Amino acid sequence: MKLNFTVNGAPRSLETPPDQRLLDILRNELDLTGCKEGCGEGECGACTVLLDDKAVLACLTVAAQLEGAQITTIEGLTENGKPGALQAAFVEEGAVQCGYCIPGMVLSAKALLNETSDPTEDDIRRALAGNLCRCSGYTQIIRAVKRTAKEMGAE
Amino acid sequence: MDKSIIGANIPRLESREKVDGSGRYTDDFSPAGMLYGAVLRSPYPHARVKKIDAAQVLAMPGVMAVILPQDVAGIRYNSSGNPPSDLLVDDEHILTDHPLYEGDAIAAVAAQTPRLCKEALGRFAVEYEVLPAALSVEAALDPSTPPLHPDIAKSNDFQLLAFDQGDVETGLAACDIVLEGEFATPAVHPLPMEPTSCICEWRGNTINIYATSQTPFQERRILAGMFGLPESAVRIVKPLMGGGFGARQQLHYQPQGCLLSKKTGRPVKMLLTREEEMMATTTRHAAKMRVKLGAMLDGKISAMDIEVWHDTGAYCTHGPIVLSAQGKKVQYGVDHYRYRGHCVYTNNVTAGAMRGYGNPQVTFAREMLIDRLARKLGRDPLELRLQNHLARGDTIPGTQTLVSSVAIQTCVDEAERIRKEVDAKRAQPGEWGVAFCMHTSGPSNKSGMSSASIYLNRDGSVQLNLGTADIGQGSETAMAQVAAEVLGIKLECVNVHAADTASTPYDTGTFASSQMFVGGNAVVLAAKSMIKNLATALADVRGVSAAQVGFAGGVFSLPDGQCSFADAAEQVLYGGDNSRVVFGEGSYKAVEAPPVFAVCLVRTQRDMLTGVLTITDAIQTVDAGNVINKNIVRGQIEGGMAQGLGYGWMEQLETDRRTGKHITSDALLYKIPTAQDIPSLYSAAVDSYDEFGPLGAKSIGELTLVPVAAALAISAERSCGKEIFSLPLSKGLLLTRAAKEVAQ
Ligand code: FES
Ligand code: FES
Repeated sequence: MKLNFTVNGAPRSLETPPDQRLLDILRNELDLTGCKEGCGEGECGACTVLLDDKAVLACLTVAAQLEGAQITTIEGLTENGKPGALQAAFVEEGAVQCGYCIPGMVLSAKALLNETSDPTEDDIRRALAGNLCRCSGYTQIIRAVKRTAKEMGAE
Repeated sequence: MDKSIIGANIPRLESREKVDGSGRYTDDFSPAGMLYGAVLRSPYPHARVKKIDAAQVLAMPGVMAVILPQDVAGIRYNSSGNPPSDLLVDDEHILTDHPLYEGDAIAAVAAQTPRLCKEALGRFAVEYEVLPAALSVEAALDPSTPPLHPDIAKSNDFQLLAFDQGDVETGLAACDIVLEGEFATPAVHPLPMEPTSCICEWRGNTINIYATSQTPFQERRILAGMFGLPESAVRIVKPLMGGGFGARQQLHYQPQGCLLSKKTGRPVKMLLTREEEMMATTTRHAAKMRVKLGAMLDGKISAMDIEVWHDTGAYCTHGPIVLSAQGKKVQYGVDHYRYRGHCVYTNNVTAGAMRGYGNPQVTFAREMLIDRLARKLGRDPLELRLQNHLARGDTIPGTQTLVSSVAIQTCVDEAERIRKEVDAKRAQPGEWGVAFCMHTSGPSNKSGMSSASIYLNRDGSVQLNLGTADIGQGSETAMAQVAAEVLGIKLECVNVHAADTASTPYDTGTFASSQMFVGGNAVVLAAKSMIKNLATALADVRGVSAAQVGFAGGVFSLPDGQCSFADAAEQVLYGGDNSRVVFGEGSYKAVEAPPVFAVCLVRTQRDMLTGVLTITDAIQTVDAGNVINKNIVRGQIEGGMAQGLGYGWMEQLETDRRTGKHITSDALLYKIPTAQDIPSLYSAAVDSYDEFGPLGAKSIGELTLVPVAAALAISAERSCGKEIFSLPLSKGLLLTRAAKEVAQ
């Protein structure tokens, strides 16, 4: 099928089988390898991206669902070559260890902050519950999200 | 020490590329012409392949090569990334017609796409004779069960490790109180978020590999031996790595990938599915343990008797070395100690290295009994442990290893301080469980060795080359800090290049919590050699004697004034007739494996109506020597706590007893803690300094996981009033995390 959609603000159009996974389109066709595959079965959250500002799993989303969609990947969060607010907070708070879960984690957090600018800790934990991290105890990640929310509120 | 470099909260250097998606992990590389490889796996835990026909596979367009057991019949090896040892049995095949566990590799295929690979696996025509499987240690030890590897050992109980001190029988007989128990811990999976992967390219007489690899230099040695190549012909590069936790301290599917590449003349990427990851990589050994503890009424623990049976699965891999490490982890000054560790073959998933390396199992059993002793004697559990604890200069029971530094009292004081704060916040009554543990920095047999080289640039910045592999823990940043501190230059002036067997010097490997201690010492030596060589070169260029050149705090002093590190570099590199290129190099062979210590407290509260146990808080304080980077240490402590809570609470690899099939075959069925499961965590690294450590540092990697399951189980036992003998607790109790708690 012919697919027209927007990735990180840029319109894209490509020829793809309708059952092609968004994960493969991003990684193989568009070279956006920041989208990670941890399980390919919707279990780990490593492949999380934003579809029209909502968090979705790129391993369970296929081309046929993407016509006209707005996709944001981790690469799309950098602002003028600098890490965006959430990304910077993750670095500062020491929330990044092996880093494999981090793109998905950041995008799940982004989806949460798109909905509410003042999340409680339980909101954050719930929003990140589908993103497994094996390196951390999640607390540095949670602090990074809280910090970003606070900074956004202060602006 | 420069407080802005050492001990500070420095964000890790590689975080930036990880957080913006530009960092490259193995699967992010796709060399030109790359094929995909996949492995045909046994659907049975024990079988014989009577016939295998690949004709239909080879007929598929896009399939480029197949390899079968007969192609690799002569090769036996041990995949473990330990340095060579007589304890390691060569019992593995690259492919086998006698699969010994569900998932054992039978054939491999290379094709143009992953989809084609998957389809190809379905087209092998295989005729199996299904054989009876031994799915537990008990079954494997039953006299009617034939040995799994009759050519190697007559019994499935194929290795016995022993450590002794004093006379345990007499010691126990003289005690006022003897407590004993039979404990069991499950096989668990390290579950790194990045799946195991490699890209292998065999071109002419050389092999190039990108791989998720904790031990590139050992893997190179094994592969070179296997294929009859000089080590220089095999290059292994570890890109960014999404965790390891021990699982990648060994070869996985590099041999198959290499052979597929040789056959096709193209690079081949082997990428495991999550299901393969669960069944066909390696796990932490399931353990059965018989433990006896003898004490006097005054609380003195004088005898400890530990016998362990480890289920090593179908192949030896690390098995005996895990036991050898496990036997050396008693931190209490007992007079009489006996340890017996049995390594047992079964038809279960192969066990290997996993964070803690035998220590979490025995720490669970030992600490359960010590807590029962405290209750029996009416003693405070912290104080009873302190009474028996090793002090500086003591020898670790069953070994010759001296304790070179120990800040256990400070760990306890700090943990108590945090506990009081938590108690003040909690309205409901709860029970605290306490556990101690000790691990070592570097292998406990002191086989750790590492090296580093430093190249100097004109502007005084340096290139630091390390053999050690950063697998996500942050060792590269810590090494850069150490180099910057010793050289007296800014952290930004150190660029790290690591874990590439063609361009970085040898390192034993990332295991046994070696990086900070062993690797860090190598960096200190390399930096000192850089300073010495630069001073000598500077003396030559300036026409003074080397003795006239001094160095302190990043500044060289000469008879006619001072000279910064960068100035010295410039003068030496572009200084006329005597100019030269300056290197620093350091090789460190561990002479000590300084013990590190942790105190862990976990709090649960029980709902009297429903019986549900809520895990509210967990505290861990550690003595890891002088802290090089607070950020990294905090990440290591809390990450270890999360894995330890998972181990104690919910994790277990399960097999259906009747069919022998894996039940926990993915990340949904095999539960690890999520952000919603982890209770409030509190952590601290106390002030400490070890004379053998680089800038006083010890290690932190494995330590922090070890005591957590024990502390949780002890808390649960105190809350429920029922003795606990096995993990995970979710098998008998209902547990939950307290919602609406404040993360600290
Ligand atoms: S890769 Fe999509 S959820 Fe794991
Ligand atoms: S940082 Fe390694 S999995 Fe989250």
